[in-house]
Amino acid sequence: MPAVQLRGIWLRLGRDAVLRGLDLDVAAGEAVTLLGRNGAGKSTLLRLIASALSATRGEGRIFGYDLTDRRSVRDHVHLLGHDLGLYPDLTPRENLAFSLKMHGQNGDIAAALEQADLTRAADRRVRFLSAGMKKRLTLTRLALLARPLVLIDEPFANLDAEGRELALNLMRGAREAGSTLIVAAHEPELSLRVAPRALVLEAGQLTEEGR
Amino acid sequence: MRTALILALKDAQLAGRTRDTLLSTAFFAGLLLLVLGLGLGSGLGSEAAQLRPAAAGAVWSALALAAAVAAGRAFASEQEAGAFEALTLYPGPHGGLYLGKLLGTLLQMLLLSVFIVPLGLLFFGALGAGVAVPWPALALTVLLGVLGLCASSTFYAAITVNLRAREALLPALAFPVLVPVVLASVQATRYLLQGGWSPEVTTWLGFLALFDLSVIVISTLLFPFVLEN
Repeated sequence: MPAVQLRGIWLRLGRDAVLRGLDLDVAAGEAVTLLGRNGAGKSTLLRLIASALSATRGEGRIFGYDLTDRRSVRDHVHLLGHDLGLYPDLTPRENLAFSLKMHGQNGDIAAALEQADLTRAADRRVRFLSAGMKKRLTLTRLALLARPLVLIDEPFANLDAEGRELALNLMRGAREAGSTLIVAAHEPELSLRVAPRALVLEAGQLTEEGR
Repeated sequence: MRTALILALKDAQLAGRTRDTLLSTAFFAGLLLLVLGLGLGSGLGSEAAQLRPAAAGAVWSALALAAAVAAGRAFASEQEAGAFEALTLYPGPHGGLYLGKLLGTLLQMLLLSVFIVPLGLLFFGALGAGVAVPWPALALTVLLGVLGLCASSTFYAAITVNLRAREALLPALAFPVLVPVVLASVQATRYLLQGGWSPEVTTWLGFLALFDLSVIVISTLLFPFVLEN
């Protein structure tokens, strides 16, 4: 069963059609890098697959569930979006614990924080962390939350070389755990190392594909 | 219910740490009581007794508007943290999110009521020497009334969270649903302050309990549609 199957998807935000009759097939276990200029609609496409947005026209299935069956889609998808989704007055440890509980999962938070080199900051409020540390904390969820389909928007933004390596390792870990991966990135040379199938989103359509 | 408890616990933890919602609602409710009191000619002197009949109305007006502020903050804080969308994408039924936000808001509003109700009654001459206040019955009225205010405000706060003028729109949108709660709470409080427990109090509290239950059930069922549209 394909992980993602979209047919003729149109999506309008206000007057603009961001996605224009887009088709997409992603097999279960596959890893895809989504490329495109700023404003091409990469984040919008990820949000649509995660059921945060509704298509204006067209149809789609996520692991066989219709996109309109949002509850079933939510049960299968984990979106690490552009917004980091961190509570500034909770600590990294508390933020991760909250995410885990809301997903109904257990995990070794201390080990995940150590992997992200955040052990020393584990009990400081997130508002006092740097942008890079916040990004690493967000990515740490990859190590803790197992979902069949993982969508990641700009995993390398705000990260130094060490942080980018961490992002790659976490993405590899998610793949090894069996997750299907779709990554929207501006750094193809990095992302393609883990997600080797490249799709280019241009003018609201996936116009180019290469391996 | 599990989602609701986790979310409410997180909100309570944040409220205890930042106190921004608690302080802003306390300031707002206190200011409203002061303005109403000054406008009606109150003070803490002998004239205050003349305003006793207005005490219940003043207290519940302050609590109703404070509940709208608190419920609005409950969702706005998610939006400000960039966590609102993530919250709507967690697995499980969305009704749990409504109940969690309701519980978080309710806890803060009950804490606020502990200070605002006696302060309002004192300011409007319904508390002090020679005035017997039936505290247990009043506490039950406050619990049911505040629950109704929070249940309605929380539902409408979710509708307005993505709007630019949400602070102004929330009380306006929630107003028709808040009116029955305020009326019933004011009547029950007034009868209690006049002569203690009576059949009228039973009737008004029964109405409040039924109204609260209806709003909570309907809002829980409708909440997924609110978030998805």
